[in-house]
Amino acid sequence: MKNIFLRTLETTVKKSAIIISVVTALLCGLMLVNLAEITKGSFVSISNELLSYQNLFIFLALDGFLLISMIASSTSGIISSEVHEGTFRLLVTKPNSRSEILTGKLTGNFVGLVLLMLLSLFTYFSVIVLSRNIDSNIAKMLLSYLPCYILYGIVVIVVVGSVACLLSCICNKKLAAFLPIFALIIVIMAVIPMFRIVGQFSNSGQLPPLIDINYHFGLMFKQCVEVFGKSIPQSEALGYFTNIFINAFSDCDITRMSWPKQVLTDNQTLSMMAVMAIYIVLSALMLLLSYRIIKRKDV
Amino acid sequence: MDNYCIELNHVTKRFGNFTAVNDISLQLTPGKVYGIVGPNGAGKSTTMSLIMGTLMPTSGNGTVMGYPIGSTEALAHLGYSPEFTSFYNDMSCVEYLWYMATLAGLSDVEAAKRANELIDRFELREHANKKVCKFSTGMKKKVSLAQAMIHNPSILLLDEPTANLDPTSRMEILDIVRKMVNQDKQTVLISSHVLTELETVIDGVIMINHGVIVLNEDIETAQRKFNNGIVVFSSSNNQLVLEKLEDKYSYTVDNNEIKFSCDETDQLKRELIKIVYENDLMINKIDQERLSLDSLYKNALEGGQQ
Repeated sequence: MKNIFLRTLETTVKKSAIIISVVTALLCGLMLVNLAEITKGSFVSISNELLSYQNLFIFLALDGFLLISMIASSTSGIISSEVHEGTFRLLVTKPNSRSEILTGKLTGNFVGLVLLMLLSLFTYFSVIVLSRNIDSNIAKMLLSYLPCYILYGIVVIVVVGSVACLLSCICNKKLAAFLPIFALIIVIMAVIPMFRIVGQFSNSGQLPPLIDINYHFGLMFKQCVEVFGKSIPQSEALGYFTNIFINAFSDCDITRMSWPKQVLTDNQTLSMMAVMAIYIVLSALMLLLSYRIIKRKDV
Repeated sequence: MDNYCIELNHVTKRFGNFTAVNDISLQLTPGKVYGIVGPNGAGKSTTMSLIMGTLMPTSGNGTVMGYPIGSTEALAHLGYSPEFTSFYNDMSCVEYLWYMATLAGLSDVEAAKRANELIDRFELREHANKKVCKFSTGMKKKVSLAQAMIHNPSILLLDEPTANLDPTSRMEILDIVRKMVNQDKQTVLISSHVLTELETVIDGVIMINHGVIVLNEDIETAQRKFNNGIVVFSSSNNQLVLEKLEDKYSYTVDNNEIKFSCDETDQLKRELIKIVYENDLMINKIDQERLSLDSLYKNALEGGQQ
C-alpha cells in the first residue's frame, strides 16, 4: 500500500499541476497587490475591502476553480484511468486487497491535493507579504486567515474528492468520471452566481436554498473562517458569488428613514453547521460506496 | 482435504445477456502444465480471469490452494500474465518490476533483488533502464512473464503468452516456460492458439467451447480417447498375422505396416502378441497412434463431443 500511496502522490503532484497552481496563485496575489494600490480610505476600510477581495479570490480561484479542477483531473482518474489503460488489471492480481489498493490511491491523491493547495496558498501569501503596496499590518491580518483557507481547502478536497472517487470507481474511462465533476465546477462557480446576478437585476426568482450548491459551499467557507474566530466582512461581490450575504429591506425604525432601505445582511436561511455536517456525512457515504463498488468490480 | 491447487465449482459468468462461461467445474493438480484451448470467444481468458479474481463469478465458487478465489491468500499463490499487458508509460523495466514486486509484498530491498534476478533470467539486462512501453512485443511479453513470477508463485496463469510473436520469440518464450516448469516445478495454466507449440509443453488439456468445458484430460488419455483405436503393426510375416485375425478388424496396409482401426485396442494388441508368440514371428513395430493436439482439437470441438 505504501508504494501505491507514493506512486499516486507522485502522479498527483506532477509538474504541470505545480506550474498551474503557482501561476494562478501569483496572478491572484498580484491582482490583490494592484487592488491595494488603488484602494483609498481609512485603515479599517482598506483592510475590510482587501479582505473581501481576498476571500473572493480564495473562494472562487485558489480553493475554487483551481482546486476543484485539480480534483477533477486527478481524483476522477485514480481508478478509471488505470482500468481504461489496463494497468489496474495487474494491480488486482497481486496479493493486495482491493480496499488496500483504493486506500493507497485515495490517501496518496488527497495528500497530493493538499500539498498543491498549500503550495498555491503559500505562493499567494508570499506575494502579499513581499509586496510594498500592502501595509505590513494589513498583510499580517490577511495572512491570519491562512488556517481558515487551508481548512476550507481540505473540506473541498474531501467533499468533491469523494464524488470524484465514486465516479472513478463506477466509470471505466477517466473522461466519463471527469466530465460530471467539471460540470459541477461550472455550476458551482459560474452558473449559479450568474443566475443569482441576473435574478437580482431582473427580480426573477432565486434558486431554492436547498439545491443552491454554491450557497452550500459559501456556508462551508464561512464556517471554516468562523471556526478560527475570524469573520468575513460583508461585501456585495462575495454575496453574488456565495449567497452568504443578501440584500434585505431594513426596518424603518432602525434606519430612521421614511422608506425601507436595502441593506446587506447575513443569509441565514440554512444553518452552516448543518450544511457542513450533511456534506461530510454524504462524503463519507460516497467513499464507503466506492469501497463497495471496487470490491465487486470486474476488471 | 483434496490435492487440487485450483478448483472451480459450477462457475458461471454472464455479461448482460451473454454467457461467457457456463457452469464450468475443473480441478487442477499441482506441478502439472495444463493447456487451455478453444476458439476465439470460447471463454479461455474469462476462465483465467475468474481464477485470478479479476472477474467476479455470476454464480459458483472456487478455490486456489484451498483459499477462495480473489482472496489475498489465493493471489499470493498466483502469477498472471494477461494476453495484452499494459505498462505505465513513465516506468522503466527495472522500476516496473520493482513496483510490482513491492505490491506483491516484497520489501524494497528484496524487490530490487528479485527484479534484477528476473531481468537477468529473461535476458533483459541491456534494456533494464529503458521505458517498457517502448519495448518490442516480444520483450513486453518477457516483462509480463517476469512480473507474473515476481513473487515466486506456485501457480502461473499465462494467457496467450506467444500471441502476436514471431517464431523465434515464440520459441524463446516457450523455452522460458519449459525451464520454469522444470526448475521451479510450478503449476502452469497456459492458453494458446498455436496448438503444436502447446503440445510440447503441456501434461493436461482443457478444451473450452461456447463457455463450456468439452474436454479435460491428461494429454495422453485424451489422445487415446480420440484416436479411434488406430494400432500400427509390422512383423516378419504380416500376411500370416492378417490370416490369423480372420478379418475381425478393419485395416489398411501401407509401406509394410498394417494400420488397424478398432475400438478395443487393448484386445487387438493382446491378440497380435499371441499370434506373434505362437508363430514365432519377429515384431518390427507395434504402436498406438497418437493424435496431434491439432487433430484432438478438431475432434473434440468440431466433431466428437459437440
